[in-house]
Amino acid sequence: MTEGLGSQLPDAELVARAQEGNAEAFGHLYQRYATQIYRYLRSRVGNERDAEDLTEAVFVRSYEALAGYQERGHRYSAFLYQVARNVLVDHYRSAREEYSLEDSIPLSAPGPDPETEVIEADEAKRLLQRMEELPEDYQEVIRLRILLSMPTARVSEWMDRSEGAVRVLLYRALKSLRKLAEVEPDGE
Amino acid sequence: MASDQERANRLDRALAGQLAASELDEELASLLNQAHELRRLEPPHPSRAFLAATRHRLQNRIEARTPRVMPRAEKTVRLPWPWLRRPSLALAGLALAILLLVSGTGVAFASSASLPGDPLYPVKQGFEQARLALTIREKAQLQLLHQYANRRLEEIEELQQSARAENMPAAISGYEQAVEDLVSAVQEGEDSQLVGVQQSLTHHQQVLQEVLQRAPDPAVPGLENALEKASQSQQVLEALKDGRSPSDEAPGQLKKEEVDEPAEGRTPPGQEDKSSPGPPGGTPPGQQKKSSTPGPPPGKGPPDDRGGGRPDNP
Repeated sequence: MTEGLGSQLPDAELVARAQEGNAEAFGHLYQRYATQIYRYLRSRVGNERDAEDLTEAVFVRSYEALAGYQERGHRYSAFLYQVARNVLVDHYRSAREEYSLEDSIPLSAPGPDPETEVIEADEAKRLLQRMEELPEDYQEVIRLRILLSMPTARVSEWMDRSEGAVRVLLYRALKSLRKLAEVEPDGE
Repeated sequence: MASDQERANRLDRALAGQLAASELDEELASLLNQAHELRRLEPPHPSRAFLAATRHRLQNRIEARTPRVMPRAEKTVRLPWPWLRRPSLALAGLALAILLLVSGTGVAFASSASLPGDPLYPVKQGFEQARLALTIREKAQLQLLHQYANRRLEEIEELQQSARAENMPAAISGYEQAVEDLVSAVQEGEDSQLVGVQQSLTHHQQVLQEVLQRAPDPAVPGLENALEKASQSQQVLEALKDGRSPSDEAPGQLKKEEVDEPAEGRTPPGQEDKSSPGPPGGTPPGQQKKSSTPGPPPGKGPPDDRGGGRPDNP
């Protein structure tokens, strides 16, 4: 398959070719979704190296499971997301340790006003600490829609909910988070 | 008072930049501000080196384990002479070689300047295969493969200069194949040859970058992939030069004992019985076979019992 043409094929076509053992087709699927999967995993594990290893594990396992995959209204990216969640489960089991959400995400590079940056960063970290107290689906919708800036439509596919349900979930999650932040405004 | 759905919709539009904060009431503006604070902690993007190396490794793994149905699949089998991998081409090449001896060198000269899409281009390919088939020494074969890869690159340049974008996909495909053949062969060559190929690949990337800058939009994805191919190949050779296995030492790799040798009975971290193709911990949507070990997701929330099922509604 020509690389240029292959990269323009829809997911379903690439999946079909990958299911026949076409490595290039799977390479295109990887190219299309590796960044999203990596960033999701990076938001959940403590360091870059783990995120890289887990990203590779997700694609290895997704290839192994590809023979049994049928779209049935579930997009391939949502399938990858589910594999990523399962890989994370195993990772936490084998690591036998809990990662704190606030430790998992590096702050972006400091801006022109370092003092303000530090204050704002502290505030953001405090919010992340509070976020760990939220129910899992609240955490997840904030992670996907806010931290990863994914469009609502994609979050809807990944979380297997309607777009309206995702919007309401996010609204309630942010409200709950604000309430938690107000109860203990000074953090730990 | 607006319903949660209406307020959620307004917040979503504000997050998408379709509503200004000034158009929101106090509560929604506060939530929007909170969301912006959280976005300061967005996770970084992966490095390009990691993405490229992992793709290369994944494709190699698939090619190594898959009974090939594509023509290029035959290339994973290493035979003493490259032409043995393509018997039909070798036969065609031999026939052409005989024809060349009989009819002189006119056709060869005429075809040597042809480009993908030209009527004489298959003849040029045939002559190349014939020359390869008639070359016995591996060192000389490697030199030829090196020359052919350079020639494929020149063809891309010439097509670009002639504004023949419609033939670019074929030229790029030929280039990638030639680089693959070259990298495969040089892995069994001498260090000096490996360094020579590395230098060529560096040059290739520069040329492809220049072609890319002037390329029409439809040709861009293919050229980007060709560039990536050259880059990936160089990384493979770099790993070889350093005495590492190219499939083991790229950034972000999984430990060899964890993933790269499943056939020896080693199990990747957390991976379950290989006989069960589904991802452990649950069955993704759309997957046929059910996994037997659903488990809680990471984090401190309640266990997610989806395993491909539907989470609770908000």
